Amino acid sequence: MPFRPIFLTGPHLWLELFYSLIIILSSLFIYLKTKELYDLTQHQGIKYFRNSFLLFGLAFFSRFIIRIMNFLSDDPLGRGFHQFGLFIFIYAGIAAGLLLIYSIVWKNIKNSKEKEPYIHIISLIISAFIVFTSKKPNFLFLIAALFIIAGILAYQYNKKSENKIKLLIVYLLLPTAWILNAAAQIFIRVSITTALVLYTLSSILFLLITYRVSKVIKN
Amino acid sequence: MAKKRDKLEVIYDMLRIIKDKHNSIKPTPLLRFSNLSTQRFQEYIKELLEKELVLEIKDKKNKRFYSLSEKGFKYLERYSTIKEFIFDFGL
Repeated sequence: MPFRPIFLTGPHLWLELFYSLIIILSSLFIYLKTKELYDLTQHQGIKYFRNSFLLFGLAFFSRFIIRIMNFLSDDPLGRGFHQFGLFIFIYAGIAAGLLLIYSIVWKNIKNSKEKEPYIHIISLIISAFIVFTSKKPNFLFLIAALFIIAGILAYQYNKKSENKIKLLIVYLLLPTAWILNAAAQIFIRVSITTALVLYTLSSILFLLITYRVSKVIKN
Repeated sequence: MAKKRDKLEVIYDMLRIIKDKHNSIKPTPLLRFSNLSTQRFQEYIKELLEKELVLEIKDKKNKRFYSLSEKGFKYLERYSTIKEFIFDFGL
């Protein structure tokens, strides 16, 4: 089937475009805005935080490419391309969620050895299983469980800490939003109303963090 | 009892001392004013040099002095933002 002009594909595509732009630009903004602070301090927490948003940006960029290809043609660049895009989306999303949570708990982990490579390896393995096996729902539950455990650890840490994190709930909701996005991407054909609700909630979370970052780092 | 300084605070204090001494200070007074043990001081000064926050300069008599790099001045200027960011985001 020939490619359709972008303006003929209805409101879904515009919604996808707008939503993806919000998430990708917010993530890039956070990554770039925090560069100077990281360059000056080489602070581990800032590094994990920045990398997390870079990966969220990558996840939503690959998701957008898959969606656009699905919209523009019935048989886009083939099944292989779709699988590859899905693999990147899932890998980057899991790694981003775990890194975000790790950015607030790393100080409490006694063994100071660098953990980031392990987070990438775990994320790559889970992503490969999800994309290349037929056990997709099981693995999404596994990711949800992973995020819940990491979230509980972060919550416990925050409860004991003198320095209470104001945005903890937003931190914990970001991976949740990504799981819902992943579920909608992999299994469910959601209606435009459901998509609108999901996209609005996810956008609010990203915009909240973007706003806070820009407020703290004024120039 | 005074609260133990964190790493960012120690770095800030050392940079501020160098700046306050007309941006040129010998190792011994810097050690004294920094309020660190010799071992910790050596670790910190090594890190400051590696991160290029501080420059080591030798005079004609081969005596060592420390002075702030441009990055070091930037660190001092942005310190309150750095602290606020790390505190706010729980990093």
